[in-house]
Amino acid sequence: MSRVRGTEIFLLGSMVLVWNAAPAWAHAFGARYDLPLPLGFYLSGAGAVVALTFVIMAVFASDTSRSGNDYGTDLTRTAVGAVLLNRYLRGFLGMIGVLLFVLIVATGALGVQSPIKNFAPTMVWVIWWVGLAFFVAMIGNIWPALNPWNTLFSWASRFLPHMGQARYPSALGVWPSVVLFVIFAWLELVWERGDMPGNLVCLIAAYSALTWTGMAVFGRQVWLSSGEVFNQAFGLLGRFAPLAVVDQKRSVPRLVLRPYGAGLLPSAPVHSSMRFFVIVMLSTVTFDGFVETPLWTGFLDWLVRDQTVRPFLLWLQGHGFDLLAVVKTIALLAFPCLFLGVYLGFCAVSIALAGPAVSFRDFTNTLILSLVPIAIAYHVSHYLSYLMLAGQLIIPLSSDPFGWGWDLIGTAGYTMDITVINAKTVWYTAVVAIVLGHVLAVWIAHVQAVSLYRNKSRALRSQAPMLVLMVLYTMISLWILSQPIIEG
Amino acid sequence: MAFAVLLYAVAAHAEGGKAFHFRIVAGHLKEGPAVVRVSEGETVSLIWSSDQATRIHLHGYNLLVDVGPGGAVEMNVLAKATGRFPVSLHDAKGDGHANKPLTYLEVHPK
Repeated sequence: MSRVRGTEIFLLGSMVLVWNAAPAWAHAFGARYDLPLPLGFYLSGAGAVVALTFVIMAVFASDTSRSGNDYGTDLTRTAVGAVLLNRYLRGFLGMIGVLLFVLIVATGALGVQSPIKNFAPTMVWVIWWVGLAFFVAMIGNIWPALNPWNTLFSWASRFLPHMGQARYPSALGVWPSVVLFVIFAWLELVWERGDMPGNLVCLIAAYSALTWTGMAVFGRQVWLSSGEVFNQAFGLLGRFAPLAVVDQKRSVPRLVLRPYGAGLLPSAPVHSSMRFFVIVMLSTVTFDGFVETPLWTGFLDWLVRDQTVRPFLLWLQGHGFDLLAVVKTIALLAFPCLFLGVYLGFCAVSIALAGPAVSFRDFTNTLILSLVPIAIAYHVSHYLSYLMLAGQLIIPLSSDPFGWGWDLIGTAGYTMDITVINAKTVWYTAVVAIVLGHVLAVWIAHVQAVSLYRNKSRALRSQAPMLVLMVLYTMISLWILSQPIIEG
Repeated sequence: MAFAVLLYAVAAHAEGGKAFHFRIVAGHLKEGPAVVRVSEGETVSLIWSSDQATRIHLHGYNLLVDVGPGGAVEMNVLAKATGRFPVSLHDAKGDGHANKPLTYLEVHPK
C-alpha cells in the first residue's frame, strides 16, 4: 500500500490549499523502508533486458515453436499429486479459510480499534493481500480452496437447494469483477482508511452480502468466475505459477507442473472484459509505486501552483473535498485508460506489420496475458521487504489478536526485526526478477503470436512493436524501483 | 561559533561516527540535511534542538527523543539495518504525525 500522505501548505495569495494531513497511525502500518535501487543495478537490469530481448528473438527465429499445452508435466499420479489433490486437504484449507474469516470479523468488530494492535488489518492487507498474492504467483493458486465466501455458501446451499437459477448474461463476462477491482484499488490506495479494523469489517460485510447475493441469484460457480473479484485476481496470478490444478470440471482434477508463465499461454483469446481486468490490475500495480515517487510529489506541487487548475481546486476544497483523494482518484481512473490506449496502439501497429490474418479483437485479447509476468516481477520487487517487515506484525498479533493484552502463544512481546532482509538482497532479487519476468513475457508473446498466425514470419513481424512495449513497461518498473520513496 | 563548537564536541563524542545537527523552529525544520546517508554498521548521531517541546521519532529503528527549549538532544543510532527511514515529529496528543518527515536516514549496505 502506498502511504503518500502529509500536509503541504501552499500560500497562494490569501487562499491556502491543503493536501490532507496524515492520520495518527500512518507511520506504523504501511511504512516502507526500501532504499532506491542504485544506478548500477538500474543500468545493469536495463541493459540485460534489452540484450536478452534480442537474444530471445534470435533464438526464436530459428526455433520451431511449440504450443502452450506442451509444457506441463502431469503430477496427478505421483506422491505430490496424491497429497495436494487430496479432498481432505482441500476440506482442511476450506476450514482454515473460514476460521480466519471469522477471526478477522470478530477481532475487527470487537478488538481494539488500532491498525497495528488488532489482528484484522495485518491479516487482511499484509498476509492475505500481499502474502497470498506472492504464494499464488510463485507456487500455486490455493485461493479456490481457501475462499471463505465459497466455502460458507456451499455449506449454506445444502439447506437451500433451489438457489442460483437465473441465467448470467454471457456478454457481461467478468465486468462485475473489473468494477469491483477498481473499487477495491480505490479503497486500498486512495481511501486508505480500510486499515482501521471497524472500517475493514464494514467492507467485508458489504462484500460478503454482494458475493452471496450474486451466488444465490446466478449460482456459486457462475458468480465465482464472473463477480468474485479475488477469484479473478488470484486466478490471473495463479496462471503464472508452476503448480496448477486443471480440468476442475471433470470428476478427476489433475495436478500439473509447468514452467513459470506457461499457464498464461491461452488456448483461446480471453473475453474482452478479461482483457480490461488484466489492464486494470497491471496499471494499479504501477500506480501503487508511481504515487510514491518524487515525480508524483512534483506533479502535486505543480498542480497547486498552476493558475488554470487553482480555482477548481479551491472550489473543491471549499466544498469539503479532500484534494489529495480527488487527484489520486482521477489518476487511478486515468491509469487503466492510458495503459489500454497505449496497449491497443501497439497492437494496432503489430497487426499492420503482420497483415490482417488475425482480427484486432483476437490479437488484443490474446497478447494481453503476455504482460502479466512483468507486472508480477515488479510487484514482487516492490513488496518483498514490506512483506518481510510488516509481515512480522502477525507474530505478536497471533498471541493477542484483539489487542486486549492476551499472550496466547507467548509471542505478544515480539518486536519487529528490521535487519531481517538487507537492501542488497532486495536489489539483487529485484533486478533478477524483473529481467526474468521480461524474458518470460517475450517468450509468451512469441508463442501466442505463432499460435495466432500459424506463420512464423508474420508472427515475428507482429512481435516487434510488442517487444518495444515490453521493454518500455519493464523500464518503467525499474525506474520506479530506482526512485526514493516519498512520504508526503 | 557556539554551534560549530557544539558540532565538533558531539562529533568527537561519537568516536569517529558521523554527527548531524537539526534545528526545529515552530515545528518546522530550519537547519539540517534533508537526507542523512550512512553505511551499514556505522554509528550516527542526530542532534536535535527545538524552540518548543516536542518528540522526534526515527521510524523502523523506533527511537524516540524528547527535545525542547532546554538544549540539544542526541539521538544515537548504530546503523545495523539497511533502508530509508523517515524521521518525523510526534504531535502533543500522542503518536500522531501531522507533518511530513523532517529528514530521512538512509543506511546503505556495505
